[in-house]
Amino acid sequence: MDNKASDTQVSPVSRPCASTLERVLRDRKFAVTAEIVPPRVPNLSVVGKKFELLREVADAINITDNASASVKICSLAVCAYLVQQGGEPVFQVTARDRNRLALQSDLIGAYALGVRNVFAVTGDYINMGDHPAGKPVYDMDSVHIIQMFDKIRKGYMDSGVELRSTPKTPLVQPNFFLGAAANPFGDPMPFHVLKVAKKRLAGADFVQTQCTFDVPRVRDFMAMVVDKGYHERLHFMIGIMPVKSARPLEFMATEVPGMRVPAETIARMKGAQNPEEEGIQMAVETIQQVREIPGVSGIHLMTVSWEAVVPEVLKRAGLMPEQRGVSEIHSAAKSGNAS
Amino acid sequence: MFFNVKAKPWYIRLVDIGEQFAKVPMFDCSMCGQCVLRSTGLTCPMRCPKQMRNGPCGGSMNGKCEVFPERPCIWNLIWERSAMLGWEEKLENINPPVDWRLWGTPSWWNLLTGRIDGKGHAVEPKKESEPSQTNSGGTTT
Ligand code: SF4
Repeated sequence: MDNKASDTQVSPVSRPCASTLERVLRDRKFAVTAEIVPPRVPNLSVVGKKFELLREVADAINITDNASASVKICSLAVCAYLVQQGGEPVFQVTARDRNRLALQSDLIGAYALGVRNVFAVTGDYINMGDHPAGKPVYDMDSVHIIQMFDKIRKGYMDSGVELRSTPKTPLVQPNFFLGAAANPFGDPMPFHVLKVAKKRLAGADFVQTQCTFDVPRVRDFMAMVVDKGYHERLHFMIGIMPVKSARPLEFMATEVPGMRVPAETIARMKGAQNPEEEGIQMAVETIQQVREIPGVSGIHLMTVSWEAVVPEVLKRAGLMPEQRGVSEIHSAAKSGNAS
Repeated sequence: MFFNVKAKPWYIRLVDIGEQFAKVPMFDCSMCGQCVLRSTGLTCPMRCPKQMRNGPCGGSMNGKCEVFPERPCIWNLIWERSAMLGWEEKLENINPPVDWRLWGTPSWWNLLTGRIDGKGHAVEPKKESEPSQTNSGGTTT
């Protein structure tokens, strides 16, 4: 526990590749993930439709966990459904709704169902959502969850209890790809960089960031990351959000914590003849800019419920699987040998 | 009339009162029983609504807390004060999760008895000895 987060000496990753997303990133291909927000009504047909739009173009699909602190179908159920459909989910877990027992049981449950990517965050505070009077859990913070999950990969629960059925059976070491969040727009920026370093020390493999509207800020953030060498061990995927109109931008600028939306961006959207087209164009431009930033390994597309735009954005940005050189990895995964 | 539900032996109670007297007004201490003030720029992180122990959450901006915008982000204060005290390096260590068995007990006592270490990190109690000084709900085996 005495290791310093900024130490450059971090042991190399020795586990085999756990998922398609990890394969893509390890092979130094540009990775693309998308996101599905589960519905509230207990019916997965909507998810099925969204999944069909994304399955061929994204390397993996994040399933949010009660996003914005509002009740939705649980992330684990949707992840299991995606696995059944032959998809590759990223299981998002927040510290808001689970204590350390629930975090671990959900993780091993997800693993048993075939989930191989996990992404841990602290989570929006409960008063942002539809049950503001509820008791938030926060038994652990995001760094702790990552540390605990990494320990599970080594065959031990958080308490040190071994992961084996009987004392005679071998230790089970579930192999999965472990992700963390980062926010280049948070203050103070060097502290947010240090927090990424802590997550790296805790065992994170990849990072997905908050949505980008302010590219220079991401540039500064990544410059600090690269300067410290954190990108050598962590794969950075930058969050991108295509929007249909100026309204969500205004909302994000004022209401959503941790987001920076420059006034010019809002003005540009407001002045657009065809806002949808402008939104796509803006997303493509942002992607092209962040792609050039040293240390960036991929993008994470958050579309709220506009999944249909993802293929178009990727096509224009030149990031379809064949253009990224990942088609083979995808077909290998389908035939069942991801590693 | 003054029945103390969380009954503690008088000497622990004394330490408890002493610590509360010193820390509650000064640091807005919540008596977590595992004080990390020494590694967080003498600023108590348990004031953070998300009880983050390892740095700001993603919503911390312009020095304000995302949950209660009228309050400062405690981790922003920790950053500034650590810099002021020259304690930046201490922010690099990972503080372990809270050991809830210690909640509501005096850190000073826990430090004295070796239940926490100098950094305020909980030390697992010996199996045989019941952690009777803590207000744990169940029994430890
Ligand atoms: S903004 Fe700061 S004080 Fe508020 S919840 Fe996040 S870390 Fe805690």
